[in-house]
Amino acid sequence: MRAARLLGASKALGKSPQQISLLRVKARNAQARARLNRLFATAFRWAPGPLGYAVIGLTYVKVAHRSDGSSGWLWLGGSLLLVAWLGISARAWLRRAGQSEGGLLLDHFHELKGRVGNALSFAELPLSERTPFMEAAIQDAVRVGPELSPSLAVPWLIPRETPFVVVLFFGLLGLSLLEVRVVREAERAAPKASQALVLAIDDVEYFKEISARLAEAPHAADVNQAIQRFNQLVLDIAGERVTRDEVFRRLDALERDLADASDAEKAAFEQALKDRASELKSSQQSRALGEALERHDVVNAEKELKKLAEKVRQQKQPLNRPDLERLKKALEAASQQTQKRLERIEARRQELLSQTRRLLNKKKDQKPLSAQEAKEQKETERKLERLDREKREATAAGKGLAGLDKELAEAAQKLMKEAGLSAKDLEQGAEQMNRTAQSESSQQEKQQLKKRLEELRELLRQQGQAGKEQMKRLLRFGQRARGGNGAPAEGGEPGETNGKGPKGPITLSRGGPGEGIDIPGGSGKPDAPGGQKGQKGQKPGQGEGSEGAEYGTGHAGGLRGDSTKLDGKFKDVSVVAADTGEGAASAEVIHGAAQRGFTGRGYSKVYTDYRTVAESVISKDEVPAGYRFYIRRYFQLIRPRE
Amino acid sequence: MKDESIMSENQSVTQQVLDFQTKVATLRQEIGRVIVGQKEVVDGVIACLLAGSHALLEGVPGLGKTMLVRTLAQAVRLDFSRIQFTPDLMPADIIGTTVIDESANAGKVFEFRKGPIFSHIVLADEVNRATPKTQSALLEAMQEHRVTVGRTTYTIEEPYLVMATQNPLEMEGTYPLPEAQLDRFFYKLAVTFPSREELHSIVDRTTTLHEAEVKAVLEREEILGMQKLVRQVAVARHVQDYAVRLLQATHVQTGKAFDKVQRFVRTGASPRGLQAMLLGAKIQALFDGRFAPGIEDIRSVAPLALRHRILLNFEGEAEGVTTDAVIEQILSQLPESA
Repeated sequence: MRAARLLGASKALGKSPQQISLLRVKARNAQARARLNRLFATAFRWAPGPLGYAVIGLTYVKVAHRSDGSSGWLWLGGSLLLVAWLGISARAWLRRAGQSEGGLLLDHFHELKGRVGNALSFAELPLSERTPFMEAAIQDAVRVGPELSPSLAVPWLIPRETPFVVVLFFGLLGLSLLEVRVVREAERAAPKASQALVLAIDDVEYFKEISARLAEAPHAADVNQAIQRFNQLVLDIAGERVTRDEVFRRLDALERDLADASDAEKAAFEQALKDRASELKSSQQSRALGEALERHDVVNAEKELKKLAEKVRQQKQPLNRPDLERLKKALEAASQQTQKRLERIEARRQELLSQTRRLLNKKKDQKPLSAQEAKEQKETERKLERLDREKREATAAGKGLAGLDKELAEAAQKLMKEAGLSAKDLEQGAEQMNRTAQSESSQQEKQQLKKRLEELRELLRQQGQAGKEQMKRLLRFGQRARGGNGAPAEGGEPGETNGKGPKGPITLSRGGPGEGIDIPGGSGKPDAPGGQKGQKGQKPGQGEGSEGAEYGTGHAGGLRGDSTKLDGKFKDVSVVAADTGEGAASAEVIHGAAQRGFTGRGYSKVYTDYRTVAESVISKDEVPAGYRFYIRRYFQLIRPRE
Repeated sequence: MKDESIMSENQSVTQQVLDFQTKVATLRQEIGRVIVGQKEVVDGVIACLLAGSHALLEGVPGLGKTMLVRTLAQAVRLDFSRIQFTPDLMPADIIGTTVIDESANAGKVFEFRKGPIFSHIVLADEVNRATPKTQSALLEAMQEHRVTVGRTTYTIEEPYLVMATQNPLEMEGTYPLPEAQLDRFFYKLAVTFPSREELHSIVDRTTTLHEAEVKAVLEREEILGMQKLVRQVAVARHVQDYAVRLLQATHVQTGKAFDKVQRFVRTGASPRGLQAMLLGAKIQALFDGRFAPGIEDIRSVAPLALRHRILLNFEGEAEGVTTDAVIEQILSQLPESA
């Protein structure tokens, strides 16, 4: 057998150049497959590194919502890992395990004991250097050349790590897809971080506190709904989920819904009450009722009406006839007030209409109007418009009091005939009054809510005008309030305010012993709690409004509400903390708070004392509406921090 | 024309290889008449004969080491002498000695009487029982195939083959062979215990009247021709490179030493080990009818050629590590191509 093979080898001589090429091709093929196997093996062995990193990094980015520049380090790390992985894989591909590798692989698989490898090695030598044994070895290999199979000798190998890598890859793929969905939803739901409205935490807490207070008390359904919308708005602002425009839009919508009872209508309603009050006061029996209505005190008016019904009903001490007559007239007159008012308006309106018609006819006749007439015409048109408005308001106010008027009229008719029935009508009138009171209460709640909306709007407006600097100052203030060092940021020192009217923020000035408050827009020096004039800050606010000659006479340009009445209603308030002989005095506590922040039990006690007084002053005294907000906000800012 | 000449040469080579295979097969067959099994040892001994070098046979008593060498000597028409090494054996007992020859014509003359070392095949039985001084008497003869006595150098006729045996168990009263002498052995062959079937055959042959007769099947010239053919076999560069790297790997000093080499080896194999591996691989290829050895041939002869050339350190000796284990680790971890 061996002899036959050896003889076969010798017969194969002469075909060597072509067949050695075949050997070379097959050896190269086997070598290429081996290199690819090495490449795959290396790539899969090291792939879990970058893939695992990518999974962890992507999870971090998704969970932490870090899609901005802050994830740069993650990308850098991932890039380095990827480059390292590519480098290792490329090295595995480029690494040659020797030129004879292909031949050796074929020898191993076909159990040729080095025939192919030797033949290829000998074939590399020049013919002159080849020995007969070399030639014989080449021929021996050439004979088996056609039977060689690189694909069988070097089958494709599936790396051991393949399942793990596949799981990681698809995990990463799934994670990225899942993430895209989350991101899209997030992008739809929330504005970009750069557009979201950001308020200082103190302001947010202030409005949260307000919304919590509003939600505590029971309200009418529509008011409740409005309060819920307000609360949601505050929560959205706190969560930085709404843009500035969105906040204003929602504020407008809320205000529109709350604007059912306009100020003019309210005035008309109050006028209607006054009209009835003046008539009711003409009778001794209904005077108390009239006075209550005159004060717009519908709750007391209801009580007085019930008392009146009781008086009419009682048998033991019945009202004498003249009293009954006067009461009847008063009730009749009161019940007809809406009608009378409307008639007066209509009469005046007709008069103005005839005047207008006269001028129009003159115009029709091509007669030019004199300047006086033209002015008169315009004046008449304005009056007509005002009358129309008054008529609408009187009608609306009359509708609100129609039930009361009806009951009063019926009571008046039955008063002389059937006292019991009349008293019943008066009681029904009291119920009508109760409903009116409830309606009035609802209106008051709406007014309260509207004030809060205005405060919020004002705050936003100020923030929009003051820009980022104010936010920095508030943040710095917040840090100091919590005991931080409050290192001054660029743009100013604490207490330095260049407010222009509403622009300027409320800041604690530490320039003088009184540690006064700078209220932007006003150059007047505020009164210190102790009754002493507080010293201004180092740089007080420089408002746009005119500067008053005396304290409290100036005002800001954007000031709202009535001006402060200076007719002797000021009340000096003196607050002295209880001196128990233990701990620091109030002044020391306040000074310490300025140094160390608004913390500690001592400060909390002093704050409570001062705030109680401030709330009391706000509720009892005529503090301008525009100032109330600043006072409340001031106390909100200096509240004790836990 | 050139092709024809190549063809002619090729046919000649092929014929020579065929003849080589036939003769080896005949020799094996003849030895097989007496020796049961031990194929690796028989092939190793034949390889040593064809390489023109020496063999060290190691095995417990009674495994047929002496019998094998004696049978080989009978199967080839060569001179054979046996030296039983004992502690009181003197170098002169091996090399020979000068005696006074009294003849009637010439009177008294000093004449050198050659010792048993001057044979084609020398069996140095239990070589480790002799003192180092006596063992060293073999050095020149084994390496240079000549013996110097006094001022005269005597050449030993080729082929020359020293077959030494030693018992690995008996350590008392023995003198381990010095490294220099160990290095001169081409192969160290481990004679293993026979299998069950082989034991049956041994008993059948030795406890009956049957007595095997060994005929001489190879002449001296044929053996010399076969030795010459072995050296004509070409070795591819990558195969030779593998052998070189394998040898280097037995050394602690080389860059990437293997774990066991690093821990247990004091000195690696000498270049004689490399020569032995390549010659052994060539003979293996010819045994198999191939014209060039492959890496597998190197791997198969590496333990035979290197096991006695690697010296273990104290830790290796203490832990009972064998040089075969060290070589096995190198063979399993050394890449075939680099």
